[in-house]
Amino acid sequence: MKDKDTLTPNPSPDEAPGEGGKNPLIRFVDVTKRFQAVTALENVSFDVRQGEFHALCGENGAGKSTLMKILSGVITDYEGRIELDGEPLTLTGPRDAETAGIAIIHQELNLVGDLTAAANIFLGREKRIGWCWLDEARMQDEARTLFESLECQVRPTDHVRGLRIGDQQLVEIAKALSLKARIVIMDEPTSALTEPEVERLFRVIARLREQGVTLIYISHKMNEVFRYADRITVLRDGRVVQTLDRTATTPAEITRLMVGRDIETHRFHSERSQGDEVVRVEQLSLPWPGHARRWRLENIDLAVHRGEVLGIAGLMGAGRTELLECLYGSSPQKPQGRMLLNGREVAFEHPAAALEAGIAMVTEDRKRYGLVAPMNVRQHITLSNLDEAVTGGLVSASAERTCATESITQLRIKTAGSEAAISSLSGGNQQKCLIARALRTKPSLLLLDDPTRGIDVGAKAEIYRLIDELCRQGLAIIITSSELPELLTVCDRIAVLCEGVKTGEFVRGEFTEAAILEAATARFRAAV
Amino acid sequence: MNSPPFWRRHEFSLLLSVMAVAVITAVLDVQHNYWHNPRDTAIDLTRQWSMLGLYSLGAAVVIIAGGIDLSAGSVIAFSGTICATLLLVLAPEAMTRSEPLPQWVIATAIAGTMLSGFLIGSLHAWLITVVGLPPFVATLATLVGLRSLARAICESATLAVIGGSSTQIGLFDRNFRYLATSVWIPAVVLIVLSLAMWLVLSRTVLGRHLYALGGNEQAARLSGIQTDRLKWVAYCVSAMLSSLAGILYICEQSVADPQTLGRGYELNAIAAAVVGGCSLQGGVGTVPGTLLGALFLRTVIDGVSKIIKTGADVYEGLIVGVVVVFAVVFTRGPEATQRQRSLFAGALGLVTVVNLTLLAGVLMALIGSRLLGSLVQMNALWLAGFSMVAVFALLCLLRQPWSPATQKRLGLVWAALTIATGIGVDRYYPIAQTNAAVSAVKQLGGKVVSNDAGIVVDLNDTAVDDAAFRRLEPRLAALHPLVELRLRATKLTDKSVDGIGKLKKSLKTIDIRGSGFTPGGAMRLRRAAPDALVVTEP
Repeated sequence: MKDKDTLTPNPSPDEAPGEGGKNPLIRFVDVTKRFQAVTALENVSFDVRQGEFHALCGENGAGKSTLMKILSGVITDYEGRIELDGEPLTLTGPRDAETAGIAIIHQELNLVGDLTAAANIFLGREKRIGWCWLDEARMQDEARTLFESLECQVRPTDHVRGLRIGDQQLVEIAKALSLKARIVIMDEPTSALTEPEVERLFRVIARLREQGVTLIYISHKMNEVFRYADRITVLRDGRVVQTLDRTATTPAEITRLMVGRDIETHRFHSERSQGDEVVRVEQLSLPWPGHARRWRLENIDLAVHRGEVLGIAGLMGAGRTELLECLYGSSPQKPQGRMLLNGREVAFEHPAAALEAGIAMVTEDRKRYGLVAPMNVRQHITLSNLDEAVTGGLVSASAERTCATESITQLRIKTAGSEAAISSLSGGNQQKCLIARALRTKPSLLLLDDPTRGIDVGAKAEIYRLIDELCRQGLAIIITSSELPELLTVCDRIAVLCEGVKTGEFVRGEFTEAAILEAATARFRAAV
Repeated sequence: MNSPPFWRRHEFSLLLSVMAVAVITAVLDVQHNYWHNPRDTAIDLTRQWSMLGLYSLGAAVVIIAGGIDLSAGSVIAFSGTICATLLLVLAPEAMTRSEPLPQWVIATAIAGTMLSGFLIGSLHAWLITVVGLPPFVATLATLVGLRSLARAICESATLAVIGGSSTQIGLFDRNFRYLATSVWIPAVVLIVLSLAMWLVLSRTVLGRHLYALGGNEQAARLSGIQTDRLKWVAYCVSAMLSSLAGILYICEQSVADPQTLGRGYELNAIAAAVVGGCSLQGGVGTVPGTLLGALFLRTVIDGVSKIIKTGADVYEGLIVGVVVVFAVVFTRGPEATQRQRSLFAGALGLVTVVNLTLLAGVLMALIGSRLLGSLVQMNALWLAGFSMVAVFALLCLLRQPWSPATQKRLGLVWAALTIATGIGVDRYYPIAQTNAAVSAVKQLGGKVVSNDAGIVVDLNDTAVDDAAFRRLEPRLAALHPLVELRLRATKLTDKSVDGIGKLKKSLKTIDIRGSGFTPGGAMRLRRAAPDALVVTEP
């Protein structure tokens, strides 16, 4: 494709999309999607061949998920066109995609927790007796057959909420099978799975391929991609960089194509000196009423010092966010156990109390828990500590603007000014505004919950540098991340959670990806 | 929350709309009240606006904070009743004998009423933040409950104090009523309170936190904002402003009647806030916008009632409904309008076409002849029929998936055709009516002839009776000028006297020889049609 503007070192020889030996099943032609100011996809063109395992690689925000949402009919207004079997494909909704034989297994699973597995599989296509009566028996029978073919233990009558993530995913796959889908899209399916579950998933995938199903597989895990893919398409910043044959490339090349340049691996942690203990928690437990596990968190001991970055690792659902919420006083239930701040015992009922005591938090999921859409950059930055701009009971506009400008300069936020709408900023800069909001309360402990989720590589590096800087100024930081390499880069120490229990703690020098993963899945091994 | 220049703000377009409505009213109102009687109309409008503005501001604060307060109407009724009851209890003699009330009694009653407002707001906050009810449910409960409680209090209080249970409490003290009969007091109260609220919302930490709460409650709480406390403030402000409005309303009406006071006003308040630019999603809205929204609503209601000359209350709800729909459609964000679907596509579109066609017909039948009475000859039925055909044609046009350019061109064609056929139909209307009258007469065996003086309806020697004539009589109005009515040897009796009397004054001769009229009937007929010569047997 448009190679000249990329930094690809060695253009691949078999770069000839669509003209391969097998006939193309799906063809994307100049697909472009804009979300207001942001261009998510720009002139994306490539082919997927009949019956192949096509991997789609790219950094967060490269546009992989957006492209697949278009193919599965979730997004219907875009430019360009898609062809299926040479015919133009127009989808007006997910139902159309199902009819066309396209099924998608989303990263965030799309199931109704309070319904049974069988009900989820036939949601919207329920088997009926006569005109309106549900045929529960037939649906459960068919679901049971599907689950047997997937060699899993899920019962059709199980409620989805009570299933493990890996089993929930199998329910989604069973749904795709029941649709008799010709094309199955999987969006990062292994991000929450244990090793045996991953193996089971790939056995299922192999069976699907025997049946002639075409797979589009989104992942940034090189080992999976290189084990199974026929071809790999790399996306970066909404453009197709290249489509390569697996046999003609290497993981290193794909990574380079994904990132676009070599990432500078700073040695952030060096020469940082630790100070006194800021926070210590002892036997921290968080109840989980009405759930089989009973505890979201169980008997956790932790400590963090001035000038130290503590990482919390764990798979999805391990309790990372819940742990930070306990420290910040925003957990849904009251945590049990002791928490000491600078040696004094504290218990926070509300985030306001935590902020008062010097603990600030930047929440995960900016959109839901961080941003206030109608407000501008200035109002976002000053929200937590607006009192510092008050004179005589009224907010002084000039004082507030001074505060905001100060933070914008300090954190190098790229914005048209303090009055710009928050939606006009990129994800990374929105995140910096939220960090600025937390910092304006002058905390001694900063909690960062997955701060680099959904922001581009450049902005990630900026955030890492910022974390390092703040740490050197004597701030204690606790950070969680859904990407393990990130924690390995920024942390001095990493605590590992598995199903709400601390299963390991490693200091820099000791920690490796393998050791942490092993701790993160310790309790599954016992269970599976 | 960026500040665009004033002329691009919602408030400015509202101000223009208010002026436009006022000008249209001044022109279309046959009596030109706005022109001839500016002082009275201004006073009336200001009084109504002040009271609507007060509790609309309350609704706006709650909406900005991301909630909804459905209870305003009942809080108004409840507070009015509480205020009157307190007066009754504190000064029973003065109240029953219509004597002046002591100052301290009035002050205590008002203070007590405001306290009740505070307590109602606190109850809402408790139900929402502690019990965990959705705001809609919590305030719906008090909407239903408080009015009933007010009626019970009213009946018990009157029974205890006066000795006879009554559903309302009359208020005659002039000092007390002066609170609303003078337009200045409500207006000044509104101005002072709006200024205070504007300052709080736009310039204080509390105000900023309210906007944050409405914009994203989770984010606000996680930013260390005490969201529960803010909700308490918002619901109390809303309830207390409604209480204040309740006091002013009983002053204005000089009676506290919990059954009718403030019924349905909660929706007017929400409508004013929404028209004024508040978003029901929360986090967006201003005090000036809400005030202008309330003013706009009042001017439209006032304008329509002046133009079509009916009580304002008959069409008030209809106007509020239509205004709210249009205001929200035109002020919503670009994302919502981007949807490319045709407005009338599919099965629902087809039903909507029929729906709107019927609505146009009903509206035209109800108010069309009042609006256009001086311009057209058609009666209400014809107007309704014609507008239904026209609207149906237009909507079917919009239903087609043609390009905007084509639709615009066809729209112009439609407009031209509608005007042309409208004029044509209007011209044809009298001819059609005449033909209908002639054929009706012929059906009864008579004939219509014209002579030099005018038209003669000849029913001599036919079997027409009273019932047939009653059906015929309205049709005869189309014959112009009708000069002679021949009813010799028909079966008509005295029962038809009134019907004949309703005919046009142009009638010069009525021949009733040999028919069923009695001499007394003939006398009455002469009185009913004084200009006509009634021919009877000698």
